[in-house]
Amino acid sequence: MYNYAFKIQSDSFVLPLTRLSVKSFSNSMHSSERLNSKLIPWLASLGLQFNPFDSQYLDAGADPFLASYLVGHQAFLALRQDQPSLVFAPVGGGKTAFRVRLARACRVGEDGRRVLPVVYTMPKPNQLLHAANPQERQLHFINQRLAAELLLAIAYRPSEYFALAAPAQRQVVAELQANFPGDLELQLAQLEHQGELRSLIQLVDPSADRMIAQPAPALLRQWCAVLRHTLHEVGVMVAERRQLTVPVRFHRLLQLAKETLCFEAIYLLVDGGDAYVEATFPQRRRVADLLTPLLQQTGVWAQQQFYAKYFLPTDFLQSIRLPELLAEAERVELTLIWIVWTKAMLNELLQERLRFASQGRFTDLDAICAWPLHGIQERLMEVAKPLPREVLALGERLLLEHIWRVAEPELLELIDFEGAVAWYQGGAQ
Amino acid sequence: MNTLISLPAYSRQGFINRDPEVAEVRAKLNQILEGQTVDKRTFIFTGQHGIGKSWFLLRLRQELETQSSVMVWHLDLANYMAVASPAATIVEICRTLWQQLPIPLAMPSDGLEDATRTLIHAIKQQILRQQVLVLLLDTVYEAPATLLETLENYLLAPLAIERNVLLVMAGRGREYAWTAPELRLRAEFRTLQAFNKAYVAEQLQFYMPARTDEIDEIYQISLGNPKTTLLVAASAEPVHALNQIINEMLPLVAFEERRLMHQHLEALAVPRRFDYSHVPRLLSAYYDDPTYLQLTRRQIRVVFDRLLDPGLIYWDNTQLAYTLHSAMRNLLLRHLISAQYPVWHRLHSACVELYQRWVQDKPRNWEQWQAELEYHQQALERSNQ
Repeated sequence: MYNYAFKIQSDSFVLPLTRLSVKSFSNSMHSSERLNSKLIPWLASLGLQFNPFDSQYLDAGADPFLASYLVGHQAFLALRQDQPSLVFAPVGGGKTAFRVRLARACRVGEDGRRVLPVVYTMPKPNQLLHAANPQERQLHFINQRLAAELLLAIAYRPSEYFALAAPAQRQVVAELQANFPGDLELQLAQLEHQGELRSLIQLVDPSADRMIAQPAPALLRQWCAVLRHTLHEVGVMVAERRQLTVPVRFHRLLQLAKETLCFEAIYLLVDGGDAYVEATFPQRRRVADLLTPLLQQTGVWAQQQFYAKYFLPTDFLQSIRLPELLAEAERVELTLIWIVWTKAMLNELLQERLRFASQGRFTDLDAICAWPLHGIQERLMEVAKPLPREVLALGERLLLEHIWRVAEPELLELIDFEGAVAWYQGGAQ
Repeated sequence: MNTLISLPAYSRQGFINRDPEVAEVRAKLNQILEGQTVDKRTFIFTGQHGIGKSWFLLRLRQELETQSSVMVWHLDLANYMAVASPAATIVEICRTLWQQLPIPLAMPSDGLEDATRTLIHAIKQQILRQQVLVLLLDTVYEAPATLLETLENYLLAPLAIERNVLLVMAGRGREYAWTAPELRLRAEFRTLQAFNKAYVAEQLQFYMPARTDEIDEIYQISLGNPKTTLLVAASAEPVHALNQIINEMLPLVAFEERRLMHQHLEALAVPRRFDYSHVPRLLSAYYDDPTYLQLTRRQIRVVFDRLLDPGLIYWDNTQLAYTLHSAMRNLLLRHLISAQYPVWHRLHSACVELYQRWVQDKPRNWEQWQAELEYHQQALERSNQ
């Protein structure tokens, strides 16, 4: 008997949990430089400012433009609650895109809420293998992410830091210095030199690159200078904090976030599970070791307004024996979300990418196809597995087939589509 | 160019229709006033030239500003197009809005980030604690993309995330691809539609009562576009004034640019939808010059952008092609057939040839081309009768 209330949200029916292959989308025939020297000018002549299917961004977390073409709003509304959540989708099924969206909503303060996102990417399969206490090691990593996110949150709104009393400012700096992943003074010096948040964003979460209304360079520099000065005053405090155990430091960081910096909630966004799907069998088994302690803490954390949201591949349902794991935890309400991509949603995904890439000129590939290929988006979705990564990979191959075939690229043709399909279906075997 | 009429200024009594749209905005506002966290707090209204977008915002302003719990600000971006840079433009906008604050303090600096952050902070402190702010923003899509990008980043998206802010924007032209998900994914996109005949009758009754008997003829030409209705009604003989009416509907640009716009629109008005494949053949038929068959993609894109940017053509996602707005297309076709019949005939014939080639091998979805082929064949047959 399990003490959980599951709220299941889905945009459509639940797909059978078949194992979907992860395609290797390597276009090693031509160097990317040579590709781009032909591809980009051709796309520009058609009204596209960049490649809307760029495979270097098949990992959504690395795509700096992702926020500009996110879709799937209904599932997101379910995710954006003060509750632990489990978000399931196959590899390449859009989990990271939802994570990115949620982190951004927290950072910009959507709906006037004050929520701190902490993006935690699970260690790679070969990390933690020989750690003496992998559970504590993982909490140590979470502490580091927490400190980094707090620094970003304060840097984004420097005036709020200035409004703190001096003792509170010292407390903040001491906790950050004790837990920051790297050299805090060096990071501040970099921010002060550049006058913008980019270097810190790259450290914390590259997908946060296009946050709205970032602070003025002068204000950011002033803030950096003040923090660097305070760093020199808190040496003893930092040394004391570094003597504390990892769990105690974790609780102190939570306290800092909630009581000193007045965050009403903290969301731990656990991502990176896809790397384990194609790992070796022993490494895949480690997933349970990694997730179990987190899941066991989920209920306790929720009582402290620290809500863990897990973005996991559907393969994990077998690996982590979910019901048994959850039965070991405290009573908590947990939201279970299945991301299921319908044709309409995938079409919307393509439309938004094309809208953005074409700067509003058009929203369908028909605009750049010769007439025999009209209805191309529907055809792409008939061929590709119903996942964003699959559809985008096939879409990019369509573009590449054309520029490889034709010396002077024109509109996409049927032969390009046939070539792309042959490539795609050959890889699926 | 002599204008046909001085179009009337907005008045509450002369405002026709749009009750459903006003009601929808009002309902959203009421939800916010009740303290609900409303998912979509931004409206973006678009529509063809002359459909009444600016008047609609004026109507909304009148409707909403009477409530003490609501603060209404109304901005027209057209008033800021001449400012040098996007950053300077936003600062200028901040100055305007700053003066409308309940407690207008001195603006802190001319820097973009400082000006916008301080304004947003003042809005939160002075307005949003007790009222809902409704920001009406006109001429949005007509503004340069660089200005919209900065406006979105520093003003609109930061306002859109606030629970007590309702944004209502209106514009025509190439749709700006909003990048901030807190704006794009949380906006209601609406298109203002043309009037039906009953509303056209109301319009004539108020503005041109002497022409109410000619409603059928006027409606056949204007297809319910409010501005076109008034222009047609103002003409003693509309059929002979079509070209002038068309010119009234075109944007105010340099003469040569306008001439090209007009000609290209005429060429593209004949097919019901078009894309890159159509343009060389249509322009070749229009100018009766085969050199247009060699147009490059870049040249075709210039043709499209010239017409896309001012909203004279648009990408229709239901037809998966570009098309003209119905009222403009109707005017152009009527003018072509009455004043340039040989051109009209060549254009339809070019379309027939094009679609005959496309249906020949019965490719996938060939029925859609067959339908277009029959449309053009029937148009030619009717003209021969």
